[in-house]
Amino acid sequence: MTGNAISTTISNDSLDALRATVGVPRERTYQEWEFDDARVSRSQVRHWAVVLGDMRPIFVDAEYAATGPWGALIAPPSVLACFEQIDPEIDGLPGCQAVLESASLEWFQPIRVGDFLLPRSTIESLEDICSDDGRAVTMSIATSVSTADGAPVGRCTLRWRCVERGTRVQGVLFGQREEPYMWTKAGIDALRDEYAAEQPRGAAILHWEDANEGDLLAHVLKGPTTRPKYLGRMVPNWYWGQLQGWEAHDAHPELFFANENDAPEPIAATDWGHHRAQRWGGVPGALDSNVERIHYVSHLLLNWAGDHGFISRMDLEFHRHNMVGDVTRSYGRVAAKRRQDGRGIITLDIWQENQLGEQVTTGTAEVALPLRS
Amino acid sequence: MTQAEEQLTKGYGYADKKKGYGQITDEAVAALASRIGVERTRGLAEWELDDSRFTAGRLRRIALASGDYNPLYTDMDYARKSPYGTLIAPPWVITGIEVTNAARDGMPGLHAWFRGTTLEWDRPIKLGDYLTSTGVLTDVRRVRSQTSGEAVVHEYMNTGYNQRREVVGRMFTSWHRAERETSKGIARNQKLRGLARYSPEDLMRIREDYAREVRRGAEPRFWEDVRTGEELPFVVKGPTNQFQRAVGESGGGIGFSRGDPGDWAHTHANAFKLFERHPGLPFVNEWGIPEIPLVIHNSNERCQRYLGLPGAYDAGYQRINWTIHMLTNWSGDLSFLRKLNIKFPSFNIMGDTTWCYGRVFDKRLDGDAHVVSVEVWNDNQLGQRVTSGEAEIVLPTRSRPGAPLWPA
Repeated sequence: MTGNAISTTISNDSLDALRATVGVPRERTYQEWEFDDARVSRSQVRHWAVVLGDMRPIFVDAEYAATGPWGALIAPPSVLACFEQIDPEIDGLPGCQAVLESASLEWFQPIRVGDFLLPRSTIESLEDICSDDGRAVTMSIATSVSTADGAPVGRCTLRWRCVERGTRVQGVLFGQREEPYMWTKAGIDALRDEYAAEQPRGAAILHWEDANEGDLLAHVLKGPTTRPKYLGRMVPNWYWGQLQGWEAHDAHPELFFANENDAPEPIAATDWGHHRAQRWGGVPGALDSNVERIHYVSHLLLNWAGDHGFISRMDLEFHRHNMVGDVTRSYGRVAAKRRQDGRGIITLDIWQENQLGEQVTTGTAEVALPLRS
Repeated sequence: MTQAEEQLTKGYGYADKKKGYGQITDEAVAALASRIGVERTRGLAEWELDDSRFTAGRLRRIALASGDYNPLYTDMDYARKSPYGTLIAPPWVITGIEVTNAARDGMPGLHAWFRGTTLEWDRPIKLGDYLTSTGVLTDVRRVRSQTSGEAVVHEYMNTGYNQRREVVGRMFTSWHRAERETSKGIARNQKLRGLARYSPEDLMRIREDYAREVRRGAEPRFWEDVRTGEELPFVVKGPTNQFQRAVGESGGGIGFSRGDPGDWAHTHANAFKLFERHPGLPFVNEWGIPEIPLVIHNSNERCQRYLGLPGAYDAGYQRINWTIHMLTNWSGDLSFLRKLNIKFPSFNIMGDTTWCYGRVFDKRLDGDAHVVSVEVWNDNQLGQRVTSGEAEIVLPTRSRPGAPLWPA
């Protein structure tokens, strides 16, 4: 094993094997003594709030939340995107790099502390895009989450672009970027001031009647991103570097590269930081996780709508990929409003930009607001 | 940016440093010493304690994150028939009672190295239990040696309780604080060795050693059958890598700081707020971004550049877990690890492989307890001793096979 840039292939065989699983649901089941693990706990919600950098009191202050619209602490709505039971890089096409291309989410009720949640995921479709530049496969994974009594909580479809590593289709992910963004002290100080200016609405109600087409939302800043968020979020199913790692290596040798020690390690660990991405991937650096952007939009919408707003839908397309160390600014504008089934629904246009002013995301969202009447 | 400017803004500490920052001064040592004997608690609310109960999922992640497949921790059908009647936690979860340590207690800007710990257990920790604790700084002293220059040693005692307020055990820790430049000196001799490199044959031998693991399991190991000088079957761990260390040191994703979920996971606005409160805290990374200092120790490049180490060093905790894996593999389900004293004389560098060994050096009656004392040590792939210590295990006796093994 040598220390060259990694190249991997998505073979016809692995794609055929995966095709056979399209439509087959994968769900997590719990034995009686495991029930506590399925319940959304208060500390779990706080943990999400901390790692997402969204500490609004409706997530973390139980006394405050008890008198709020939901009668209890709720989880950041965007965690709906974290219940996927199929990992495109492990269970899907081992060895590929998977980046999120677009996401559609729908919520039916808030996720409350104490909820017992059952997720179920299915690969909905696979699209094979083969060219001289390498192979890319778009994998759509649909996940629905329900409570123990079967009441639907939400549904999301994440569309992953799975690319062969070491090919031009992987290089395309970086656009024109040749290196990670370099921050100066002045730049960091300006970000600190921008963070300090954030003003979430909180408990004050924004009525449907008071939102008007063309209204601009106060933007939300996130980043610069760093590695620890991955550490904090990591709830892995595989345990590498010990016996389990060797067993996984036997089952999926294509998941591994020969690392600095010439020892096998999952390729995914080259995506966490610039040093390794540059050395082992032959790419300009490490990419950010686009899943984070769903959280950022949720933060933007709740800052505007306040505790009483209910995000019911989000459709996002990720046109460019950020690198670790970038910031993302999320923007929104009221596009339309309607009354439906006794509810006041606002449709918003959503977009996100990085520190270079590049538009990295576009999309729409719907938020239900209380009616004055 | 000129190189000189870059030096000013990269590395440890972003904001203007106060006088004495990162230095050992009489004032800083005295300020720290004034906390000796002051009891500290984590101040966790009832709900936080309740949320920190060892659930089946948590036990499984904790055990597997350290590579210990013992069904006592993961298989309810097996555990029900065991002496405990339910799933138990691996003994090393006692390290979760640590209320504070030298990495965040006094003298900001000094590097903290974990020297070693003594762990004592009074009773097993079971499914559904939670741990609460008190901690106290017991000693602060300045030391000086030829190799490490001037340093300060902090020592702590932590006492752990379960939800019934029964003492489950104690953790005594010892820490070494040194100025960053001195720390580079400590590390300098390490640089000679470089990162571990493995040939395919080396890896094959390690795999074969994994296959040689022996777990005693349900068959009692009677005290009478143990002889002094007896060697315990070893376990092998590694080669570690970033993936494994991220999992292992976070206890399988349950949070690095165990009782404090997300404690080190400050991002976005939270990170900026944290660094405003503690301007000396952040490490400014290669791209000009302030980060929590913890990130140094998971990066080969950063440990090489800023500490002069051959690669990323470990926090020490995993070696406790691995050593306990080796001990409990040998002593079996019907046994009680009551004490482990462990020291970290050398570094465990990213990519190292660790063999955990033990040898019985004493057996005796202590009151009603039939005790064996085991010398423990860990060697790396270079044959260097990176860990040493002693353990005391209470074993069942043939004369009274059903007698309780722990004092409670």
